[in-house]
Amino acid sequence: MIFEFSIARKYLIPRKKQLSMSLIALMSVGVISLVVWLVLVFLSVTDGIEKNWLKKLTSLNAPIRITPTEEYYRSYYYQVDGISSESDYRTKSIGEKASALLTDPYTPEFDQEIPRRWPEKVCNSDGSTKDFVKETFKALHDLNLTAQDYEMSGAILKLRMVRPQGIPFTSSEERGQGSLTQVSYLSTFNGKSPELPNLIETPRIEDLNHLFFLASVSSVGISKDSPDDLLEVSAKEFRNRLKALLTHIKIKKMRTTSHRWQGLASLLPEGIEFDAYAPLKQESITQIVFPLEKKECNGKVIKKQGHFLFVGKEGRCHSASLSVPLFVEGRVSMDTTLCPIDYEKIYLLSDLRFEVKTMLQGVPLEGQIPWDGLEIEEAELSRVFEERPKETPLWPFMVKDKIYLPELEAPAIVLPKHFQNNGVQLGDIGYFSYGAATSSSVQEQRLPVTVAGFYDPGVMAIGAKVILSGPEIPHAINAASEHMIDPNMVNGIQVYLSDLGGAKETKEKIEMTFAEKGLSPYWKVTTFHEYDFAKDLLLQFQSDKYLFTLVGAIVLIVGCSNIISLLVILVNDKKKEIAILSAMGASKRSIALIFTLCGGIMGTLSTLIGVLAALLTLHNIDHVVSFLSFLQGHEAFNAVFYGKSLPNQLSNHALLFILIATPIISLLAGLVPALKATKLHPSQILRSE
Amino acid sequence: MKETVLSCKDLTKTYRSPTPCTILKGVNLTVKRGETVAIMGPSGVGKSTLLHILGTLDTPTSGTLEIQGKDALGEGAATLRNKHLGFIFQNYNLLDEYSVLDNVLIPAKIGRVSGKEGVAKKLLEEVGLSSHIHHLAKQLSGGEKQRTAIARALCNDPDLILADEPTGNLDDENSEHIHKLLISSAKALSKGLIVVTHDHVLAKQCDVIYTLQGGRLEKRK
Repeated sequence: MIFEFSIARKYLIPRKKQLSMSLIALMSVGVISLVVWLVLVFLSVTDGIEKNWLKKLTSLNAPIRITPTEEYYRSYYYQVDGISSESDYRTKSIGEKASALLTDPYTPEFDQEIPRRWPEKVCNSDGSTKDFVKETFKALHDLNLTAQDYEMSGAILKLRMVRPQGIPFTSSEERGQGSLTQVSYLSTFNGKSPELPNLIETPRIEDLNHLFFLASVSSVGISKDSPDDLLEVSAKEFRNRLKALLTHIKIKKMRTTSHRWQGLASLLPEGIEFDAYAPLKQESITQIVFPLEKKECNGKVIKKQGHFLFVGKEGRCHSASLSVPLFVEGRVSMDTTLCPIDYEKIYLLSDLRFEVKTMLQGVPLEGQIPWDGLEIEEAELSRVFEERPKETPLWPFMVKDKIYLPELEAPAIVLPKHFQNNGVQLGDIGYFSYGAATSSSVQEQRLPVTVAGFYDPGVMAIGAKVILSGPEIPHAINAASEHMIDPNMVNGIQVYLSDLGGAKETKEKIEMTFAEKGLSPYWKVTTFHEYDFAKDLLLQFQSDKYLFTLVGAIVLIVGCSNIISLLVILVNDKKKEIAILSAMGASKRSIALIFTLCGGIMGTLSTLIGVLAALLTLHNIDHVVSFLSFLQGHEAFNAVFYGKSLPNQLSNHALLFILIATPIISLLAGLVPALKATKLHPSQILRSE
Repeated sequence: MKETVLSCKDLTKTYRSPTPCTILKGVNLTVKRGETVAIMGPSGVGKSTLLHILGTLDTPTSGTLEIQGKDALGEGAATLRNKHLGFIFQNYNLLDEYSVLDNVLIPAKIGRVSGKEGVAKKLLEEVGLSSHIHHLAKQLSGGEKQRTAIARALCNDPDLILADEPTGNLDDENSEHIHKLLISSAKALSKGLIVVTHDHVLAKQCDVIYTLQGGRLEKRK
């Protein structure tokens, strides 16, 4: 093999005298490398996208769900609450059962007689009623699984969207309001889900500005049919809200909200000339416009002894007071530090003052200005805490590994991020409308809520309509209204896993444990592969994967077929050498091996180059996407569908496929010319030479 | 009694196209160790074909061929060729891109025989090319190439050397040198030698001269 390898290597090393052969060999290696690169990048990105989608799917719905069976709902354990005064004559959800003090709340002295055809009580060996829910949670805990109950419901969400009219954060700001109505599913916000924190979006800068804008807006009358005029909150309430915001938002930079910026008057240093335009009307200055950078204007402005002095190009001087309207060509960005606050003196946002630093025409400006004509440009948020904060932020926050909803005036909800496209912002308030059945009719009930965040629902079919909230909201709606959705989806237990690959195995373990503990008849265990709303999508993923691998294999075969052409030319070129080697005693097998190795070497070399190029590309995937977007003139990949950035992890499955397929296909491609080489007649060649 | 290294019986060779033509008709030949044999005859009579058949590079239409007592027309022909035969061609047939030493070592490498570098260098010294061992084959003169080919033919210590017009492309001075080298090497190393040649000077130096005519091999000396 060493001899054959050394000959094969010699054939493939580029030589001046064999320039055409060398070029063809280089081109073949180049083409295969390109194919390997393409297949690897494509399969890695699609694999990554699929994994991201699966992650999103399983963080919202958990990889394993345990739902009650008909047997559970027919059991004494479930129905007994409906006839027990201790349970308010109301059946309980799984969450309530898990925290209930009594497994059997029925008291023969106070409650009605148990009907004759009533299900039999299932008892433990000591005669006590078997607690299906608590035993289930215990069994899951014993299996070291993280489990949490969930409840789903449906309702109509109506949001009142208060928005600034005119320039925000200025005296000219006014308020208008619009509304948005959406029929939605409601699901429990499961803080234990390990992936959920990754799906919750960090509040955007416009959300933070909106929260400050809403700080003075009252939510009174939110549940009314026709909205009242907007009311201001009391000074005390305003201060409390401001305090809550400033506890968790550290403003680092602000910028002007419009060209008009009167705050500049106090920041301009005395005695320094600035280029400016100053239109004159009856010999008096009506306004001054400053360019951001030094620029030829119709004069220069100097601040002197509490006045502006404008020196026109022609040399004439005009004076103006500091209150003359000031404008800047462009938005001014400034580093900001909040000045110490005496909350007792705060009535409006403009009572807050900031130490600011910025530049105008190369001159540093420093000083203290109020929050007027400014908005937040950059801020730091508190999202992770060591222990639960006294004053919670207004968005979901982490304490250790668990994520929590904020405690707000109206219960917090987290919306799918698609709502942002409809203009919904953090802090918007609204209500859920649902029907509550009474003895004579169905009455509409309204439950006020506050938008506390947005999450990425992935590509799940109902994802764009699922709103996350604390357990009390879906429970209240379920308790009051007829079930609007599949009863089996309403209530259950979610089990979270760190490795999705182990879902089926874990399901089997759970089922075995349930069988041992006599819980099997009451629970149905399903993995994410079986969820109705995900089944089609997962099947699609699977067939996509097969299809892409097949396409990859075909492209590889086409790429590697180059080797056949090259080696056929090589065999023709090396006829004499083949005959000489044959005369020296080289067997047909040995001759064939030389050319098969040529194919193998080219395949391996191309694989290495292609893999390195793919790693490099994946490492710089964001630059590649930017470049593609630049070429196309629009966003190359839709962020809603593909996520903020494309996955950049090399897929093990793709790498394995390439590492096995490419050398094998190349070797096979080398086999065709190798067979041709063995068919040569050395005697004829040596004589003709 | 000297050991027979090659023996063929009733060898025939017929070419089917363009028209059937039998160029070898029942050739019988035996070569013993240390024996030098010259095959002469007019051009196109089939001398080279016979040599290639004897060297297992070509197959006869019928007949038997044994090298070192083994059937040389079966599966193991390549191994027999590598172990027991050494070839010398009129146009040298060296690998131009390889060094002189590498060319000489090729049969050993094909046969997976290690430690032959010393032997190869000694052979090159004997043929007067010790100063050229790292030269590329294409950089050598005709005489030097043929001397390299002789060294290559001897490298695997074969039992029989087959030479096809070894001096056909060389001038008289070089031819004489190659003749001496070839005959003396065969005698000194006790190898069988079959030379196909038109050169009477070379043929006369051999123990036996055969003439191939009309497809038959006839002994002249």
